[in-house]
Amino acid sequence: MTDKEYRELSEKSETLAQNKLYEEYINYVYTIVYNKLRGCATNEDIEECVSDVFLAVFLNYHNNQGLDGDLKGYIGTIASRKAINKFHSLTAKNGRTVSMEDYFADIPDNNRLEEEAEKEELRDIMIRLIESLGDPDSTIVLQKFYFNRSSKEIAKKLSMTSGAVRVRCSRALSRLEKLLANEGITLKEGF
Amino acid sequence: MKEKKTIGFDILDNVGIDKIDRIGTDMDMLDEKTKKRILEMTKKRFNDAIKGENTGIYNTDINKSEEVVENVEVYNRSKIRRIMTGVVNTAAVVGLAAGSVFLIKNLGRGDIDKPVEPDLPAVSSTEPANQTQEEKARNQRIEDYIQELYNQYVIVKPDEEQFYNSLEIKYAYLDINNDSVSELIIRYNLLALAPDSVFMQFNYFDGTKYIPFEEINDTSEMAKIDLQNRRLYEIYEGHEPGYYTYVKTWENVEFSDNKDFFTVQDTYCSSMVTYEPTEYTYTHNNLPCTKEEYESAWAEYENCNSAELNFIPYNVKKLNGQSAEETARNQRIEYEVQATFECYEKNIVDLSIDDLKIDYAYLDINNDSVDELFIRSKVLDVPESESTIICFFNGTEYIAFSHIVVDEFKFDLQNRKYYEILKENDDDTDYFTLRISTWENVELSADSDYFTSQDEYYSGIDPFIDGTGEQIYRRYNEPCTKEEYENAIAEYENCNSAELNFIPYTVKRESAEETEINLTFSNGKKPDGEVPITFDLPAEANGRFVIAFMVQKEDGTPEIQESSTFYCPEYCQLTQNVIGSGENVNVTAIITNLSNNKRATIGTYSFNFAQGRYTCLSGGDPYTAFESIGAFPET
Repeated sequence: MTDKEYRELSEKSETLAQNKLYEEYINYVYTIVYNKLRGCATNEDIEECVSDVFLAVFLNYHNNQGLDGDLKGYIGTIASRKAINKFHSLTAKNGRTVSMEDYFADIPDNNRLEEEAEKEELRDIMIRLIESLGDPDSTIVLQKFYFNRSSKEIAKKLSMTSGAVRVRCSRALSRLEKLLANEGITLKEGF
Repeated sequence: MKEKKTIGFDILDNVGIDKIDRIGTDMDMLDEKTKKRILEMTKKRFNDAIKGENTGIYNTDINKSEEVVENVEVYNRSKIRRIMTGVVNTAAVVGLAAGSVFLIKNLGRGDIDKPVEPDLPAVSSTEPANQTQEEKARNQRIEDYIQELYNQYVIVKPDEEQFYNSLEIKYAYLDINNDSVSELIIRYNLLALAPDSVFMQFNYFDGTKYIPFEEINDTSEMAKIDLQNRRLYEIYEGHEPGYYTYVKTWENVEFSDNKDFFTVQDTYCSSMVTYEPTEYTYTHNNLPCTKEEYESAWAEYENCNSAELNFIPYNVKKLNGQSAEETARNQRIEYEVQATFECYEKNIVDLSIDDLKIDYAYLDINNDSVDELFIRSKVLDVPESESTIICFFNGTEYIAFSHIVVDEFKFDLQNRKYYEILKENDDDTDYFTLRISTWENVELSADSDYFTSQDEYYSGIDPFIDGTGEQIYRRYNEPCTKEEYENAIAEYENCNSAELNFIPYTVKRESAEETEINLTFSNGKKPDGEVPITFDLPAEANGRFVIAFMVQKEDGTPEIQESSTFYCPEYCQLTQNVIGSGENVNVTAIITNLSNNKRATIGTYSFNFAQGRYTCLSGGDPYTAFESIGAFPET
């Protein structure tokens, strides 16, 4: 959806425009928020943060702000900022120490450049190898081990039996371990 | 030596926004209930924020710091002022959210209790041949509007399956601007949500299509159009005791996308500010006015020369002579075709819809006299892509409840058992899993587990399990004896299996102006190659057989290619490579019983040696051919 499409739809019905935008971007926003808050937030916190993102977008448009062109980048930026704010808020509330890495993530630091580059490279390898498993195995692996979904939940979303999901998941994980081993990487215990 | 690194899935945390699409935005992350809950929570906060924005309570600037601030002093306004502000704000919200209330005298509510014909989306209407351009545009506009409603409604009420059955659509004409072309007024009522879901949309005809210019929430029955004086009156009953009166005026304006139709708007409000003693306040365009001014506006509304609107019910049921089940079946199959195609098109270069093979079959597995639908889909040349979806018919549509991606499966209806087999052979593993599921007389539904109990046997050499490399037998994950395993296999092999007669489904190809056209240039040589064709041989057949393939050459003469002699019941399947050249070559397969020299045609096929595929033109049933050559010994 583009900014223009949203505004045109909004002229007819703001509710309709909001519903369309929500339906189109809910997965995108949820993934960004989950990706930032996975380690420190409950499901309720994540849902609240997702709601914060859409609220901010709706209000911006209601107040005639927003931007030109495709909305994806704009919504992605809002989602990232909201998630980082939520992360700070939660870690402060829980008395947890915020890692300097997270806090100064946007500030270049020569001492951490090498470490960051290596982490980025490992991240790229991991994503590439998961993708190489092909659908639906890549989806099953990500949903199971990254998004912590149960086999039953995944089965429902993929219209498969939970038994089939378990079988495919076990085979896919074995393949992923082999692929990682070829790159000199071991999958840590408990993942 | 390179250092070995250890990572977990948490390496994906804080991935850059440029890579976020690669870890899961394609898939629905949340179930419909959660999505709905978050949307409702957001909208409630949005509405609260809009109200608060007018009073300065809420900060709606997202760029400001989000630090939590506690112990804020609360500014208490006087009760009367709070109610007044609430009334004004409510009016503002109503104005913003619903446009305005626009209700016509003598309009009536329609026959809410009258049954409505079920309406189906995305099916073209059957219209008379002599339709005028305006009529076509009118029907198109109504259908577009229904589609918009549907899109909006499925988000708000995702669990509602009978949306179209509870949707009442009516339309009327009224020449509002006196240009001899009537405006189209579409009125819809979602019976399940009545009375809050009565809306009307006004559309003008621009010579080609109808364009909407006003949508109103029809929650009251007190609105009028005075064509003579070009005045529109609306009455809205507020949440607080009292009424809002909108008086809109228009001139002889031309419609256009960018012009407001109504040139002047007056809003009068009468509101009860305290419950006891009764006291009213009157406003005009949000400023205080006298009771007389308010009553004068009300009297003008009551005495105006109101135009009458005759609403006609719109029936969008278009089944084109198909039964609901047939329509639902085809819709379901088309859905699976698209899903299969989309699933693989990312990974297979130049995948076309012709690469899909779709079959369907019926079997009443739960003995409720309604057949379940089996859809088998396969991407040709991708053996592991074969899967079967089982769907049940709920009276309106086919709902999928099981997805089978196994190598073999059988249904024993008599004993209510379902068997499935998974095999895998590669360098490291070699295993065979038999799963036996049992069910009772259960009702089918998308949310319930159909099979009530499961048993699973496993045999294989699997270094990932115990690393011994020996043949092992397991029942679930516990060791079992070889005998237990073999008993289960025997049960599977001897079960009273129900037959599934799969019927090929012709996949529809979409053609549109935007369709990409691929031009192929000939290099002067005919494409040639080998295409394997496989026949399943009946288990009951007995004897020696041979299959001859008559390949029709370009000059019309046949070329014979024969399979080797095969024995039944020892052989259960035969695959033969047919060699030839050309893209549309007729091949006839003929079977001969070498015991009695009887012959029969199995089928006629069209082979494409350039793309390595074939399609069946006629026949294609080996069982019938075997039967006609006396291959089944009499018992």
